[in-house]
Amino acid sequence: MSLQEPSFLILSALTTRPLHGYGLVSEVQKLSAGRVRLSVGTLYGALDRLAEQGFVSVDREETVGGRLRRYYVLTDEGAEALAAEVNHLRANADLAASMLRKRAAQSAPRLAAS
Amino acid sequence: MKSYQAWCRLALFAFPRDYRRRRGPEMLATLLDGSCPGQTRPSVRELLGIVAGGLRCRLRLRPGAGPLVLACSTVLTTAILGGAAATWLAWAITSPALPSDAEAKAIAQAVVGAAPAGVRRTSIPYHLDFDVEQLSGVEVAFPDNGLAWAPRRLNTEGWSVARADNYGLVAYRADLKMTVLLYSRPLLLRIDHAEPPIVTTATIAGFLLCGLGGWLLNARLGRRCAGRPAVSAWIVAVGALTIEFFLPLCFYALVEYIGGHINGGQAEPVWSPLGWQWVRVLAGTGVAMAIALLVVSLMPVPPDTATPRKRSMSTG
Repeated sequence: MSLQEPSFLILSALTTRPLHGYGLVSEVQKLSAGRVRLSVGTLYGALDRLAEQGFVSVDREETVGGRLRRYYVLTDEGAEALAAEVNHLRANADLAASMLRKRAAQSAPRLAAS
Repeated sequence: MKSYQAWCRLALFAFPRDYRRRRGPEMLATLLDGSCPGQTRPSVRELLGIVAGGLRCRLRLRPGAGPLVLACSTVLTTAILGGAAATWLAWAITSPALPSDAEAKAIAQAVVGAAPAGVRRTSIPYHLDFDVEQLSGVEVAFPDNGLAWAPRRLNTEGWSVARADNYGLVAYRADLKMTVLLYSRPLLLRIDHAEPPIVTTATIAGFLLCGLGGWLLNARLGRRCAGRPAVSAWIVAVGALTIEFFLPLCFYALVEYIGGHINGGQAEPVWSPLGWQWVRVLAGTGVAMAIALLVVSLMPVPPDTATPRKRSMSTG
């Protein structure tokens, strides 16, 4: 089962420590070098699905300055799913890289001949 | 900041009430944490993100083509069946009584210019008797003695011809519709009610409302399935089988119904194919499954099983 990019980045963000909603938005933005900024709708939709699949669970709740912060933690199943996805992506990337190397090797003699 | 908060609270109404109750304060906190100092309202992108997320949550649309196909099939099936039910209701409520046998004979005699041989009444308006697939009407037969049909009498009797070809003729007068079957021996005249104007409106309203109902049913079942793969698999299997029983028939019936209207001829009731002998068992099974799904959807949605530890801090 392939993870969608927001889910992949959320699981990646939770690998080291539990994070609350805004913490996840910030961490995902940082991990993707500013490319992915999760909207609240996308974030909670993804968290619902990940929780249903058992990949994340609620760690604790805090009320800070009157604001409810719910922290999410990566479960063992989530870590396994993330590792499987990493292997899958790595295999695809390796395959694409080897094909590109082949292409470069084939076109080098032609360039030399011309 | 209060204005920003008010905007966020308003946008969060896109989510269902029970979801807002569970997630609302947390989502609001995330939005407030992400706001800039002095910001008075969320950006359009943020607002669209919240509303889109809310609608997706309301519709319980999961990623992937399968759930979308199942949801659309459910909507289409319930919409067509709802449209059919609304059509029946509109006919039953608004359609006046058909002419009596004597009145029908008199109408037919005036038009044909000869004494009819007999009268036969068929069913009730948009009946539920699956054995007869015709709409209600009075059929008047004439003796087979080489009677010549004289269409010009129609005009003198106040009928206006809507359609005529080698096989038949359809004419209207006030709220009555007359169909003359020219190929029939003996000559046969059929008198029905013209479709009351409210019927089309009712059909469209029934179609839209029941389509919406189908979507909500789908959403409700989706919520019942959440986090329960076994329940989910059963509901999806029963749902898919139900759709399997109904959808082809609904499509056929819809095409027949629309085709009947376009041709100006007799439009069969949308559910009439469900009464075909060979389909009856399947249709009955489909109805039983649909009722089972409805009962499951009406059961209360289980609450979140997560029981997080709570902690309060004054600053942060």
